[in-house]
Amino acid sequence: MSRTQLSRKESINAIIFLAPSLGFLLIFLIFPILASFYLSFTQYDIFSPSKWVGFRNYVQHFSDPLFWNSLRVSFYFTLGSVPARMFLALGLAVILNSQIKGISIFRSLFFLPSVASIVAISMLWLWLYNPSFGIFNFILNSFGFSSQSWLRNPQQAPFCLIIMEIWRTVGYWMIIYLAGLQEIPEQHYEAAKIDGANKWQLFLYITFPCLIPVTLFILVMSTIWTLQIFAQVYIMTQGGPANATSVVVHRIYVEAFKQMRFGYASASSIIFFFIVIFITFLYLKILRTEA
Amino acid sequence: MHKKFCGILQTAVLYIALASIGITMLAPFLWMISTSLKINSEIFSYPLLLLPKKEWDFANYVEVSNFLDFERVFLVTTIATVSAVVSNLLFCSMAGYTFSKLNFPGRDLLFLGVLATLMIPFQAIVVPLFVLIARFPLVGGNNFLGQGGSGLVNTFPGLILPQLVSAFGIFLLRQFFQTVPDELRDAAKIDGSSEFGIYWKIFLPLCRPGLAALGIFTFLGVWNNFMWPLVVANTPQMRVVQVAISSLREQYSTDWAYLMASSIMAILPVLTVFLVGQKYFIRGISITGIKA
Repeated sequence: MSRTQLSRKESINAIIFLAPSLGFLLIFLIFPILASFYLSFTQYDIFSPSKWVGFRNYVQHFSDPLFWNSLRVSFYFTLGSVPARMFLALGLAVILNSQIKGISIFRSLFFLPSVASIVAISMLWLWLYNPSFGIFNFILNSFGFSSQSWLRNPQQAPFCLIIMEIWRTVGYWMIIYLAGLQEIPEQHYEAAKIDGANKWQLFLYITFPCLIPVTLFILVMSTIWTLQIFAQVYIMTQGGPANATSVVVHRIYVEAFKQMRFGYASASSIIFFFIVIFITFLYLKILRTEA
Repeated sequence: MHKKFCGILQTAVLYIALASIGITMLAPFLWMISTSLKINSEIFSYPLLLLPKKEWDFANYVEVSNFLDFERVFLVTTIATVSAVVSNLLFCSMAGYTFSKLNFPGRDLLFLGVLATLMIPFQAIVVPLFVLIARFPLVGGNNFLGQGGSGLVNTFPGLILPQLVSAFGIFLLRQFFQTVPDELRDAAKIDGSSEFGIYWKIFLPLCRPGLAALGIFTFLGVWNNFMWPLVVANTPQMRVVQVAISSLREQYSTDWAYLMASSIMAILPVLTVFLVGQKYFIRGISITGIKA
Protein backbone atom coordinates (compact mmCIF):
# COMPACT_ATOMS: atom_id res chain seq x y z
CA MET A 1 0.00 0.00 0.00
CA SER A 2 1.13 3.54 -0.66
CA ARG A 3 1.95 6.02 2.08
CA THR A 4 -1.31 7.95 1.68
CA GLN A 5 -3.34 4.75 1.62
CA LEU A 6 -1.71 3.65 4.86
CA SER A 7 -2.35 6.94 6.60
CA ARG A 8 -5.93 7.02 5.40
CA LYS A 9 -6.43 3.52 6.78
CA GLU A 10 -4.94 4.70 10.05
CA SER A 11 -7.31 7.66 10.19
CA ILE A 12 -10.30 5.44 9.54
CA ASN A 13 -9.20 3.07 12.29
CA ALA A 14 -8.77 6.03 14.59
CA ILE A 15 -12.30 7.22 13.88
CA ILE A 16 -13.74 3.78 14.59
CA PHE A 17 -11.79 3.40 17.81
CA LEU A 18 -12.66 6.87 19.04
CA ALA A 19 -16.30 6.88 17.99
CA PRO A 20 -17.86 5.29 21.09
CA SER A 21 -16.02 7.29 23.74
CA LEU A 22 -15.92 10.63 21.92
CA GLY A 23 -19.50 10.23 20.80
CA PHE A 24 -20.41 9.65 24.39
CA LEU A 25 -18.53 12.75 25.57
CA LEU A 26 -20.31 14.73 22.88
CA ILE A 27 -23.79 13.61 23.91
CA PHE A 28 -23.43 13.53 27.69
CA LEU A 29 -20.91 16.29 28.35
CA ILE A 30 -20.64 18.80 25.53
CA PHE A 31 -24.28 18.81 24.47
CA PRO A 32 -25.51 19.32 28.06
CA ILE A 33 -23.21 22.27 28.72
CA LEU A 34 -24.42 23.89 25.50
CA ALA A 35 -28.00 23.06 26.46
CA SER A 36 -27.30 24.65 29.82
CA PHE A 37 -26.46 27.89 28.03
CA TYR A 38 -29.64 27.68 26.04
CA LEU A 39 -31.84 26.81 29.01
CA SER A 40 -30.39 29.68 31.03
CA PHE A 41 -32.15 32.07 28.64
CA THR A 42 -35.50 30.36 29.08
CA GLN A 43 -38.16 29.79 31.65
CA TYR A 44 -38.74 26.07 31.83
CA ASP A 45 -40.61 23.89 34.28
CA ILE A 46 -40.10 20.69 32.22
CA PHE A 47 -43.81 19.99 31.88
CA SER A 48 -44.74 22.80 29.54
CA PRO A 49 -42.57 23.90 26.60
CA SER A 50 -39.76 26.33 27.38
CA LYS A 51 -40.29 30.06 27.04
CA TRP A 52 -37.54 32.38 25.85
CA VAL A 53 -36.87 35.19 28.34
CA GLY A 54 -33.50 36.53 27.27
CA PHE A 55 -31.23 37.75 30.05
CA ARG A 56 -33.97 37.93 32.65
CA ASN A 57 -32.66 34.96 34.64
CA TYR A 58 -29.20 36.51 34.93
CA VAL A 59 -30.60 39.89 35.92
CA GLN A 60 -32.66 38.20 38.61
CA HIS A 61 -29.54 36.51 39.93
CA PHE A 62 -28.07 39.93 40.66
CA SER A 63 -30.83 40.70 43.10
CA ASP A 64 -31.19 37.19 44.50
CA PRO A 65 -29.95 37.25 48.10
CA LEU A 66 -30.09 33.47 48.38
CA PHE A 67 -27.77 33.09 45.40
CA TRP A 68 -25.22 35.59 46.70
CA ASN A 69 -25.43 33.90 50.06
CA SER A 70 -24.67 30.54 48.45
CA LEU A 71 -21.60 31.99 46.73
CA ARG A 72 -20.43 33.41 50.03
CA VAL A 73 -21.02 30.11 51.84
CA SER A 74 -19.22 28.08 49.14
CA PHE A 75 -16.18 30.35 49.17
CA TYR A 76 -16.09 30.53 52.95
CA PHE A 77 -16.23 26.77 53.02
CA THR A 78 -13.43 26.47 50.47
CA LEU A 79 -11.23 29.05 52.21
CA GLY A 80 -11.79 27.27 55.48
CA SER A 81 -10.93 23.79 54.35
CA VAL A 82 -8.40 23.96 51.49
CA PRO A 83 -5.35 25.56 53.16
CA ALA A 84 -5.73 23.59 56.39
CA ARG A 85 -6.19 20.37 54.49
CA MET A 86 -3.18 20.97 52.23
CA PHE A 87 -1.01 21.77 55.21
CA LEU A 88 -2.12 18.59 56.97
CA ALA A 89 -1.72 16.49 53.83
CA LEU A 90 1.81 17.75 53.29
CA GLY A 91 2.73 17.12 56.91
CA LEU A 92 1.39 13.58 56.82
CA ALA A 93 3.12 12.89 53.52
CA VAL A 94 6.45 14.11 54.87
CA ILE A 95 6.09 11.90 57.94
CA LEU A 96 5.10 8.89 55.87
CA ASN A 97 7.98 9.48 53.49
CA SER A 98 10.57 8.84 56.17
CA GLN A 99 11.81 5.29 56.16
CA ILE A 100 9.75 3.77 58.92
CA LYS A 101 8.03 0.45 59.02
CA GLY A 102 4.33 -0.05 58.49
CA ILE A 103 3.95 2.80 56.02
CA SER A 104 1.41 1.02 53.86
CA ILE A 105 -0.85 0.31 56.82
CA PHE A 106 -0.89 3.97 57.84
CA ARG A 107 -1.33 5.03 54.24
CA SER A 108 -4.40 2.85 53.85
CA LEU A 109 -5.76 3.99 57.20
CA PHE A 110 -5.46 7.67 56.33
CA PHE A 111 -7.01 7.01 52.98
CA LEU A 112 -9.97 5.11 54.40
CA PRO A 113 -12.35 8.06 54.82
CA SER A 114 -11.88 9.07 51.17
CA VAL A 115 -13.03 5.67 50.03
CA ALA A 116 -16.24 5.50 52.02
CA SER A 117 -19.22 7.13 50.37
CA ILE A 118 -20.09 10.71 51.24
CA VAL A 119 -23.59 9.58 52.16
CA ALA A 120 -22.33 7.08 54.72
CA ILE A 121 -19.90 9.60 56.16
CA SER A 122 -22.58 12.28 56.31
CA MET A 123 -24.79 9.95 58.32
CA LEU A 124 -21.89 9.11 60.59
CA TRP A 125 -21.00 12.72 61.33
CA LEU A 126 -24.65 13.61 61.71
CA TRP A 127 -24.65 11.09 64.52
CA LEU A 128 -21.37 12.39 65.94
CA TYR A 129 -22.71 15.94 65.96
CA ASN A 130 -26.04 14.96 67.53
CA PRO A 131 -26.61 17.44 70.37
CA SER A 132 -28.09 14.90 72.80
CA PHE A 133 -26.39 11.61 72.05
CA GLY A 134 -23.49 12.51 69.81
CA ILE A 135 -20.04 11.58 70.97
CA PHE A 136 -18.59 15.07 70.52
CA ASN A 137 -20.85 16.59 73.13
CA PHE A 138 -20.28 13.59 75.33
CA ILE A 139 -16.55 14.23 75.23
CA LEU A 140 -17.06 17.94 75.87
CA ASN A 141 -19.28 17.19 78.86
CA SER A 142 -16.74 14.77 80.27
CA PHE A 143 -14.25 17.63 80.40
CA GLY A 144 -16.75 19.98 81.97
CA PHE A 145 -17.72 21.94 78.87
CA SER A 146 -21.34 22.50 77.93
CA SER A 147 -22.99 20.81 74.99
CA GLN A 148 -23.00 22.62 71.66
CA SER A 149 -25.78 22.53 69.12
CA TRP A 150 -23.29 22.06 66.28
CA LEU A 151 -25.34 21.63 63.10
CA ARG A 152 -28.33 23.45 64.58
CA ASN A 153 -26.25 26.58 65.19
CA PRO A 154 -25.79 28.91 62.19
CA GLN A 155 -22.32 29.98 63.31
CA GLN A 156 -21.08 26.50 64.09
CA ALA A 157 -22.67 24.53 61.26
CA PRO A 158 -20.25 25.61 58.47
CA PHE A 159 -17.33 24.94 60.78
CA CYS A 160 -18.69 21.46 61.51
CA LEU A 161 -18.87 20.66 57.82
CA ILE A 162 -15.37 22.01 57.25
CA ILE A 163 -13.91 19.74 59.92
CA MET A 164 -15.71 16.77 58.46
CA GLU A 165 -14.52 17.58 54.96
CA ILE A 166 -10.89 17.91 56.04
CA TRP A 167 -11.11 14.60 57.89
CA ARG A 168 -12.68 12.94 54.89
CA THR A 169 -10.30 14.04 52.15
CA VAL A 170 -6.89 14.75 53.69
CA GLY A 171 -5.78 11.17 52.95
CA TYR A 172 -6.45 11.55 49.24
CA TRP A 173 -4.28 14.65 48.87
CA MET A 174 -1.66 13.12 51.12
CA ILE A 175 -1.24 10.34 48.55
CA ILE A 176 -0.57 12.88 45.82
CA TYR A 177 1.92 14.75 47.97
CA LEU A 178 3.58 11.44 48.78
CA ALA A 179 3.97 10.70 45.08
CA GLY A 180 5.43 14.16 44.58
CA LEU A 181 7.88 13.66 47.42
CA GLN A 182 9.03 10.35 46.02
CA GLU A 183 9.72 11.96 42.67
CA ILE A 184 12.41 14.21 44.14
CA PRO A 185 15.75 12.73 43.11
CA GLU A 186 17.83 11.42 45.97
CA GLN A 187 20.93 13.12 44.54
CA HIS A 188 19.58 16.55 45.42
CA TYR A 189 19.53 15.59 49.07
CA GLU A 190 22.90 13.87 48.90
CA ALA A 191 24.56 16.92 47.39
CA ALA A 192 23.03 19.26 49.96
CA LYS A 193 23.98 17.00 52.86
CA ILE A 194 27.58 17.02 51.66
CA ASP A 195 27.44 20.80 51.78
CA GLY A 196 26.36 20.48 55.40
CA ALA A 197 22.64 21.28 55.20
CA ASN A 198 20.47 20.34 58.17
CA LYS A 199 16.94 18.92 58.07
CA TRP A 200 15.15 22.25 57.96
CA GLN A 201 17.38 23.60 55.20
CA LEU A 202 16.85 20.43 53.22
CA PHE A 203 13.11 20.93 53.45
CA LEU A 204 13.12 24.65 52.69
CA TYR A 205 15.56 24.70 49.81
CA ILE A 206 15.01 21.33 48.15
CA THR A 207 11.77 19.66 49.15
CA PHE A 208 9.49 22.65 49.09
CA PRO A 209 10.60 24.13 45.75
CA CYS A 210 10.35 20.72 44.10
CA LEU A 211 6.82 20.37 45.43
CA ILE A 212 5.54 23.63 43.98
CA PRO A 213 3.93 22.09 40.84
CA VAL A 214 2.20 19.40 42.90
CA THR A 215 1.10 22.00 45.44
CA LEU A 216 -0.39 24.11 42.70
CA PHE A 217 -2.19 21.10 41.28
CA ILE A 218 -3.61 20.13 44.66
CA LEU A 219 -4.59 23.73 45.37
CA VAL A 220 -6.62 24.04 42.20
CA MET A 221 -8.16 20.56 42.20
CA SER A 222 -9.18 20.66 45.85
CA THR A 223 -10.57 24.18 45.44
CA ILE A 224 -12.72 23.13 42.50
CA TRP A 225 -13.89 19.95 44.22
CA THR A 226 -14.70 21.74 47.48
CA LEU A 227 -16.76 24.31 45.59
CA GLN A 228 -18.79 21.42 44.21
CA ILE A 229 -19.96 19.80 47.44
CA PHE A 230 -23.59 18.83 47.61
CA ALA A 231 -24.30 15.52 49.32
CA GLN A 232 -23.19 16.53 52.80
CA VAL A 233 -25.33 19.64 52.74
CA TYR A 234 -28.34 17.81 51.31
CA ILE A 235 -28.19 15.07 53.92
CA MET A 236 -26.98 16.88 57.02
CA THR A 237 -28.41 20.37 56.95
CA GLN A 238 -30.50 20.92 53.78
CA GLY A 239 -28.70 24.25 53.48
CA GLY A 240 -29.64 25.41 56.95
CA PRO A 241 -29.81 26.49 59.64
CA ALA A 242 -30.94 29.81 58.21
CA ASN A 243 -29.07 29.15 54.94
CA ALA A 244 -25.77 29.05 56.79
CA THR A 245 -24.64 26.01 54.81
CA SER A 246 -26.47 26.65 51.56
CA VAL A 247 -23.72 26.05 49.03
CA VAL A 248 -24.03 26.87 45.33
CA VAL A 249 -24.72 23.34 44.12
CA HIS A 250 -27.40 22.84 46.74
CA ARG A 251 -28.96 26.09 45.56
CA ILE A 252 -28.95 24.78 41.97
CA TYR A 253 -30.57 21.56 43.14
CA VAL A 254 -33.33 23.38 45.00
CA GLU A 255 -34.01 25.78 42.15
CA ALA A 256 -34.28 22.98 39.60
CA PHE A 257 -35.72 19.98 41.39
CA LYS A 258 -37.70 21.52 44.21
CA GLN A 259 -38.91 24.75 42.63
CA MET A 260 -39.04 23.34 39.09
CA ARG A 261 -37.28 26.44 37.71
CA PHE A 262 -34.99 24.71 35.24
CA GLY A 263 -34.17 27.87 33.32
CA TYR A 264 -33.18 29.80 36.41
CA ALA A 265 -31.18 26.86 37.74
CA SER A 266 -29.35 26.62 34.41
CA ALA A 267 -28.32 30.25 34.77
CA SER A 268 -26.95 29.42 38.22
CA SER A 269 -25.13 26.45 36.71
CA ILE A 270 -23.56 28.60 34.00
CA ILE A 271 -22.37 31.19 36.51
CA PHE A 272 -20.91 28.36 38.59
CA PHE A 273 -19.32 26.87 35.47
CA PHE A 274 -17.60 30.15 34.65
CA ILE A 275 -16.23 30.42 38.16
CA VAL A 276 -14.66 26.96 37.77
CA ILE A 277 -13.28 27.85 34.33
CA PHE A 278 -11.82 31.07 35.71
CA ILE A 279 -10.02 29.23 38.49
CA THR A 280 -8.72 26.65 36.01
CA PHE A 281 -7.37 29.34 33.70
CA LEU A 282 -5.70 31.11 36.61
CA TYR A 283 -4.00 27.82 37.39
CA LEU A 284 -2.87 27.22 33.81
CA LYS A 285 -1.55 30.77 33.61
CA ILE A 286 0.45 30.40 36.82
CA LEU A 287 1.70 27.02 35.62
CA ARG A 288 2.94 28.55 32.38
CA THR A 289 4.77 31.39 34.13
CA GLU A 290 6.28 28.88 36.54
CA ALA A 291 7.71 26.84 33.69
CA MET B 1 25.20 7.66 72.38
CA HIS B 2 23.32 10.91 72.67
CA LYS B 3 22.66 10.87 68.93
CA LYS B 4 21.22 7.36 69.07
CA PHE B 5 18.86 8.38 71.86
CA CYS B 6 17.73 11.37 69.80
CA GLY B 7 17.13 9.08 66.87
CA ILE B 8 14.98 6.71 68.90
CA LEU B 9 13.07 9.61 70.45
CA GLN B 10 12.39 11.04 67.03
CA THR B 11 11.09 7.72 65.73
CA ALA B 12 8.90 7.31 68.79
CA VAL B 13 7.39 10.77 68.35
CA LEU B 14 6.77 10.01 64.70
CA TYR B 15 4.98 6.79 65.52
CA ILE B 16 2.87 8.47 68.18
CA ALA B 17 1.86 11.18 65.71
CA LEU B 18 0.98 8.62 63.05
CA ALA B 19 -0.92 6.44 65.48
CA SER B 20 -2.95 9.39 66.75
CA ILE B 21 -3.95 10.41 63.26
CA GLY B 22 -4.67 6.80 62.42
CA ILE B 23 -6.98 6.50 65.40
CA THR B 24 -8.70 9.74 64.40
CA MET B 25 -9.39 8.26 60.97
CA LEU B 26 -10.53 4.88 62.24
CA ALA B 27 -12.40 5.68 65.46
CA PRO B 28 -15.53 7.22 63.89
CA PHE B 29 -16.03 4.07 61.83
CA LEU B 30 -15.65 1.88 64.89
CA TRP B 31 -18.22 4.02 66.69
CA MET B 32 -20.47 3.57 63.69
CA ILE B 33 -20.20 -0.21 63.90
CA SER B 34 -20.75 -0.12 67.64
CA THR B 35 -23.92 1.93 67.24
CA SER B 36 -25.23 -0.36 64.54
CA LEU B 37 -25.00 -3.34 66.88
CA LYS B 38 -26.86 -1.76 69.79
CA ILE B 39 -30.51 -1.89 70.62
CA ASN B 40 -32.25 1.46 70.91
CA SER B 41 -32.23 1.63 74.67
CA GLU B 42 -28.47 1.34 74.62
CA ILE B 43 -28.01 3.93 71.87
CA PHE B 44 -29.87 6.54 73.88
CA SER B 45 -28.38 5.68 77.21
CA TYR B 46 -26.28 8.12 79.18
CA PRO B 47 -23.36 7.98 79.76
CA LEU B 48 -22.56 6.62 76.33
CA LEU B 49 -21.72 2.97 76.09
CA LEU B 50 -18.57 2.17 74.19
CA LEU B 51 -19.65 -1.30 73.23
CA PRO B 52 -23.07 -2.92 73.18
CA LYS B 53 -23.67 -4.34 76.64
CA LYS B 54 -26.43 -6.86 76.19
CA GLU B 55 -25.83 -8.74 72.99
CA TRP B 56 -24.37 -7.72 69.70
CA ASP B 57 -27.59 -7.13 67.90
CA PHE B 58 -27.22 -8.00 64.25
CA ALA B 59 -30.97 -7.74 63.90
CA ASN B 60 -30.59 -4.09 62.90
CA TYR B 61 -28.81 -5.16 59.73
CA VAL B 62 -31.51 -7.65 58.82
CA GLU B 63 -34.33 -5.25 59.61
CA VAL B 64 -32.97 -2.32 57.64
CA SER B 65 -32.22 -4.59 54.68
CA ASN B 66 -35.83 -5.65 54.59
CA PHE B 67 -37.15 -2.18 55.23
CA LEU B 68 -35.17 -0.65 52.37
CA ASP B 69 -35.45 -3.71 50.12
CA PHE B 70 -31.69 -4.01 49.92
CA GLU B 71 -31.98 -7.05 47.69
CA ARG B 72 -33.36 -4.85 44.94
CA VAL B 73 -31.24 -1.84 45.85
CA PHE B 74 -27.98 -3.75 45.77
CA LEU B 75 -29.00 -5.34 42.48
CA VAL B 76 -29.65 -1.96 40.92
CA THR B 77 -26.39 -0.54 42.24
CA THR B 78 -24.38 -3.56 41.10
CA ILE B 79 -25.83 -3.48 37.60
CA ALA B 80 -25.07 0.22 37.28
CA THR B 81 -21.55 -0.12 38.66
CA VAL B 82 -20.52 -3.19 36.66
CA SER B 83 -21.89 -1.71 33.44
CA ALA B 84 -19.96 1.49 34.01
CA VAL B 85 -16.74 -0.36 34.83
CA VAL B 86 -16.88 -2.63 31.78
CA SER B 87 -17.85 0.21 29.48
CA ASN B 88 -15.15 2.53 30.81
CA LEU B 89 -12.44 -0.12 30.57
CA LEU B 90 -13.37 -1.00 27.01
CA PHE B 91 -14.03 2.39 25.42
CA CYS B 92 -11.51 4.46 27.37
CA SER B 93 -8.74 1.98 26.55
CA MET B 94 -9.67 2.07 22.87
CA ALA B 95 -9.49 5.85 22.95
CA GLY B 96 -6.32 5.93 25.04
CA TYR B 97 -4.66 3.49 22.67
CA THR B 98 -5.68 5.57 19.67
CA PHE B 99 -4.42 8.83 21.14
CA SER B 100 -1.16 7.22 22.14
CA LYS B 101 -0.24 4.95 19.25
CA LEU B 102 -2.14 5.99 16.16
CA ASN B 103 -1.17 8.93 13.99
CA PHE B 104 -3.83 10.99 12.32
CA PRO B 105 -4.37 14.67 11.60
CA GLY B 106 -5.68 16.66 14.55
CA ARG B 107 -4.84 13.97 17.06
CA ASP B 108 -3.21 16.17 19.68
CA LEU B 109 -5.79 18.93 19.32
CA LEU B 110 -8.56 16.41 19.78
CA PHE B 111 -6.87 15.02 22.89
CA LEU B 112 -6.62 18.55 24.26
CA GLY B 113 -10.34 18.86 23.63
CA VAL B 114 -10.98 15.71 25.64
CA LEU B 115 -8.88 17.11 28.48
CA ALA B 116 -10.82 20.35 28.28
CA THR B 117 -14.06 18.51 29.05
CA LEU B 118 -12.54 17.65 32.43
CA MET B 119 -13.19 21.28 33.31
CA ILE B 120 -16.94 20.76 33.05
CA PRO B 121 -18.17 19.98 36.56
CA PHE B 122 -21.04 17.57 36.77
CA GLN B 123 -23.06 20.08 38.75
CA ALA B 124 -23.03 22.46 35.79
CA ILE B 125 -24.71 19.89 33.54
CA VAL B 126 -26.95 17.99 35.96
CA VAL B 127 -29.95 20.12 34.99
CA PRO B 128 -29.77 19.71 31.19
CA LEU B 129 -28.68 16.10 31.60
CA PHE B 130 -31.88 15.47 33.52
CA VAL B 131 -33.87 17.24 30.84
CA LEU B 132 -32.15 15.12 28.19
CA ILE B 133 -33.06 11.93 30.02
CA ALA B 134 -36.60 13.00 30.90
CA ARG B 135 -37.39 14.32 27.44
CA PHE B 136 -35.81 11.44 25.54
CA PRO B 137 -38.01 10.88 22.49
CA LEU B 138 -40.13 7.81 22.03
CA VAL B 139 -39.58 6.23 25.46
CA GLY B 140 -41.40 6.31 28.77
CA GLY B 141 -44.53 7.81 27.34
CA ASN B 142 -42.80 10.52 25.34
CA ASN B 143 -43.78 11.40 21.81
CA PHE B 144 -41.10 11.86 19.16
CA LEU B 145 -40.50 15.40 20.42
CA GLY B 146 -39.88 14.04 23.88
CA GLN B 147 -42.94 15.54 25.47
CA GLY B 148 -45.67 14.05 27.56
CA GLY B 149 -44.08 11.34 29.64
CA SER B 150 -41.09 10.80 31.84
CA GLY B 151 -38.65 9.45 29.29
CA LEU B 152 -35.80 7.47 30.78
CA VAL B 153 -36.29 8.71 34.33
CA ASN B 154 -36.32 5.86 36.82
CA THR B 155 -34.94 3.40 34.28
CA PHE B 156 -31.64 1.58 34.02
CA PRO B 157 -30.53 3.37 30.83
CA GLY B 158 -31.37 6.74 32.39
CA LEU B 159 -29.33 5.90 35.45
CA ILE B 160 -26.39 4.30 33.69
CA LEU B 161 -25.88 6.06 30.35
CA PRO B 162 -24.23 9.25 31.65
CA GLN B 163 -21.71 7.19 33.59
CA LEU B 164 -20.46 4.89 30.84
CA VAL B 165 -17.40 6.86 29.72
CA SER B 166 -15.16 9.32 31.52
CA ALA B 167 -12.70 11.78 30.04
CA PHE B 168 -10.49 11.05 33.00
CA GLY B 169 -10.39 7.39 31.99
CA ILE B 170 -9.24 8.31 28.50
CA PHE B 171 -6.53 10.52 29.96
CA LEU B 172 -5.37 7.93 32.48
CA LEU B 173 -5.13 5.07 29.98
CA ARG B 174 -3.45 7.19 27.36
CA GLN B 175 -0.75 7.97 29.90
CA PHE B 176 -0.35 4.26 30.59
CA PHE B 177 -0.17 3.40 26.91
CA GLN B 178 2.55 6.02 26.49
CA THR B 179 4.79 3.85 28.63
CA VAL B 180 4.50 0.94 26.20
CA PRO B 181 7.03 1.13 23.34
CA ASP B 182 5.70 2.07 19.91
CA GLU B 183 7.91 -0.53 18.27
CA LEU B 184 5.61 -3.31 19.47
CA ARG B 185 2.94 -1.98 17.20
CA ASP B 186 5.26 -1.65 14.22
CA ALA B 187 6.43 -5.21 14.69
CA ALA B 188 2.88 -6.50 14.92
CA LYS B 189 1.90 -4.59 11.78
CA ILE B 190 4.70 -6.22 9.86
CA ASP B 191 3.30 -9.54 10.99
CA GLY B 192 0.01 -8.53 9.41
CA SER B 193 -2.12 -7.99 12.49
CA SER B 194 -5.28 -5.91 12.29
CA GLU B 195 -5.44 -2.73 14.35
CA PHE B 196 -7.97 -4.23 16.71
CA GLY B 197 -5.88 -7.36 17.02
CA ILE B 198 -2.84 -5.33 18.01
CA TYR B 199 -4.86 -3.41 20.54
CA TRP B 200 -6.66 -6.41 21.99
CA LYS B 201 -3.91 -9.03 22.04
CA ILE B 202 -0.76 -7.01 22.60
CA PHE B 203 -1.31 -3.59 24.15
CA LEU B 204 -4.31 -4.23 26.35
CA PRO B 205 -2.69 -7.06 28.34
CA LEU B 206 0.37 -4.85 28.88
CA CYS B 207 -1.83 -2.21 30.40
CA ARG B 208 -3.19 -4.26 33.29
CA PRO B 209 -2.11 -1.87 36.08
CA GLY B 210 -3.76 1.02 34.28
CA LEU B 211 -6.93 -0.98 33.70
CA ALA B 212 -6.95 -2.06 37.33
CA ALA B 213 -6.57 1.55 38.46
CA LEU B 214 -9.35 2.78 36.19
CA GLY B 215 -11.57 -0.13 37.14
CA ILE B 216 -11.27 0.70 40.81
CA PHE B 217 -11.71 4.44 40.23
CA THR B 218 -14.87 3.80 38.23
CA PHE B 219 -16.22 1.31 40.74
CA LEU B 220 -15.71 3.78 43.58
CA GLY B 221 -17.09 6.67 41.59
CA VAL B 222 -20.26 4.95 40.45
CA TRP B 223 -21.00 3.02 43.65
CA ASN B 224 -20.57 6.16 45.76
CA ASN B 225 -22.30 8.49 43.31
CA PHE B 226 -25.17 10.34 44.94
CA MET B 227 -26.35 13.43 43.09
CA TRP B 228 -27.12 11.86 39.71
CA PRO B 229 -29.01 8.81 41.07
CA LEU B 230 -30.86 11.09 43.49
CA VAL B 231 -32.08 13.21 40.63
CA VAL B 232 -32.88 10.54 38.05
CA ALA B 233 -33.83 7.36 39.92
CA ASN B 234 -35.59 7.88 43.22
CA THR B 235 -38.33 5.28 43.61
CA PRO B 236 -38.14 2.28 45.94
CA GLN B 237 -37.96 0.02 42.90
CA MET B 238 -35.23 1.95 41.24
CA ARG B 239 -32.62 3.49 43.46
CA VAL B 240 -29.03 2.90 44.41
CA VAL B 241 -27.67 2.21 47.86
CA GLN B 242 -26.66 5.80 48.60
CA VAL B 243 -30.09 7.17 47.74
CA ALA B 244 -31.83 4.41 49.69
CA ILE B 245 -29.88 5.28 52.82
CA SER B 246 -30.57 8.97 52.44
CA SER B 247 -34.29 8.21 52.36
CA LEU B 248 -33.99 7.05 55.98
CA ARG B 249 -32.96 10.56 56.89
CA GLU B 250 -36.18 12.01 55.64
CA GLN B 251 -38.26 10.28 58.25
CA TYR B 252 -39.55 12.26 61.19
CA SER B 253 -37.78 10.17 63.78
CA THR B 254 -34.31 9.10 62.78
CA ASP B 255 -33.57 5.48 63.55
CA TRP B 256 -29.86 5.75 64.18
CA ALA B 257 -29.25 2.04 64.41
CA TYR B 258 -30.79 1.54 60.97
CA LEU B 259 -28.85 4.50 59.62
CA MET B 260 -25.53 3.20 60.90
CA ALA B 261 -26.19 -0.37 59.88
CA SER B 262 -27.23 0.54 56.35
CA SER B 263 -24.29 2.92 55.97
CA ILE B 264 -21.88 0.16 56.98
CA MET B 265 -23.44 -2.13 54.41
CA ALA B 266 -23.03 0.57 51.78
CA ILE B 267 -19.35 1.01 52.60
CA LEU B 268 -18.37 -2.67 52.72
CA PRO B 269 -18.23 -3.43 48.96
CA VAL B 270 -16.18 -0.33 48.26
CA LEU B 271 -13.90 -1.06 51.18
CA THR B 272 -13.31 -4.59 49.91
CA VAL B 273 -12.51 -3.43 46.39
CA PHE B 274 -10.18 -0.81 47.76
CA LEU B 275 -8.31 -3.14 50.11
CA VAL B 276 -7.82 -5.70 47.36
CA GLY B 277 -6.69 -3.25 44.70
CA GLN B 278 -5.20 -0.36 46.69
CA LYS B 279 -1.79 -0.78 45.13
CA TYR B 280 -3.20 0.00 41.66
CA PHE B 281 -5.56 2.64 42.94
CA ILE B 282 -2.86 4.59 44.73
CA ARG B 283 -0.59 4.32 41.74
CA GLY B 284 -3.38 5.69 39.56
CA ILE B 285 -3.92 8.69 41.81
CA SER B 286 -0.20 9.36 41.97
CA ILE B 287 0.00 9.50 38.20
CA THR B 288 -2.65 12.20 37.98
CA GLY B 289 -0.65 14.33 40.38
CA ILE B 290 2.68 13.83 38.67
CA LYS B 291 1.61 14.34 35.09
CA ALA B 292 -0.14 17.57 35.97
